[in-house]
Amino acid sequence: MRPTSFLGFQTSPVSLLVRPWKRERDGTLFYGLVKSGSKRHALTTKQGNKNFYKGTRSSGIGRHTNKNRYIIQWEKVRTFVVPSEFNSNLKPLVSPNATEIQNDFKGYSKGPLDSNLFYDKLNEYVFHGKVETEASQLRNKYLERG
Amino acid sequence: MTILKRSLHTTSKALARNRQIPLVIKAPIAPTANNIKVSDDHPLWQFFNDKKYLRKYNEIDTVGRPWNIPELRRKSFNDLHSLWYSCLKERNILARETHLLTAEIDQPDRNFLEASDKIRETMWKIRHVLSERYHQQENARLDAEQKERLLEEFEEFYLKGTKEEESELQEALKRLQFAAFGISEIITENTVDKYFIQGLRYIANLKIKRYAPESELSPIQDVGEAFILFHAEANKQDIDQQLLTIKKFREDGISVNRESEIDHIKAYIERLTQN
Repeated sequence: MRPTSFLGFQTSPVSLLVRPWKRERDGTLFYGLVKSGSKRHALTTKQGNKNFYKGTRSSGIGRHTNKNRYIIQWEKVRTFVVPSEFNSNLKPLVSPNATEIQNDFKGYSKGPLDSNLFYDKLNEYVFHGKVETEASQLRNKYLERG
Repeated sequence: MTILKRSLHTTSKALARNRQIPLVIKAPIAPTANNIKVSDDHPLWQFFNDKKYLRKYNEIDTVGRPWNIPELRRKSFNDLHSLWYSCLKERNILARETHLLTAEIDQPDRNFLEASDKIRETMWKIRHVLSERYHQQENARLDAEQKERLLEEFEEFYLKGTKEEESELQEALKRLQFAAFGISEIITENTVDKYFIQGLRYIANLKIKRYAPESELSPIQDVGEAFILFHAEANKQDIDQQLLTIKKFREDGISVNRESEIDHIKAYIERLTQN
């Protein structure tokens, strides 16, 4: 059985091999890379060693000065990009009476990730423009190609 | 900021208030929201629904359902972005209201929490659809065979087209350059990368094949020449004229180095947009 790649973000094979034995300079294990215990649960703020800082993704947007001030670095502050053409007609929730459409990816083995589907759509767009074709239309009032 | 302390300095004397201001007693201002004036376009109004402090329970949408994935697959990127943004704003409002309720009655209301959870579902589904699109595009990019087939099919379609279909052909070409190479009609919207360069070459050769099939200059390899033809109008007269300038360039030995072609095209476009 293949081991679970729970630390898949470390993609280099060397780091994967070295994983459980990675240490800080003072000899302590790097946080989260424990040699024992359950590895399948997310770490909470109370776990890990002294190097483990989980945070709430809300701090760390600046630096402290030696005169008790805090200087905000605006490039570290989270911003939300406003859509270039904001469409205010779309609401967060849908009416419960609206029919829920379904997609059957008939003939496309990989479903929504299928590259054949991508090129079929591309063909339709290039040769016919943004119009509904026989393949893309709604069937039985609820079924769509995808 | 300097702090001015009371002392015997001349500055502090000068700054001291020695003018007698007559004391006028006014009626106290009651600390209610009605006495506070806020402009209508204050950005913090975005955290309020219809400028209400707290909505009533029956004003919360309890029957609506989150968007489902097939519905979101139909939408354009801009629509999804707008929808995500509206969801974010609505959740901010609900979070504010939940916070107030928790402070007041010590228990958040179910309607508010459920509405927020439903909106959260819409939000992750939007991200799911975007990730699907990304992975589909990556898969398609690896599938070079299909792209070549599309380009060959289009070439056939473009070269076979009659003069009556001319405007239709040009529209299709615009759609193809956008879909296959990411070249936008609006020149400033483009980012010059290797796909852009590929597109320039493809379109330049396509135009030669249609409007000047007997030209000895084809196939065009130099990207500078390709750009001239790409920019030329789609008719025989203009293409012939541009071919003459290309011929002149070749005689003078002007060409674009293969390694620096992206920079060259970037500079070209910059110059075009400045004029």
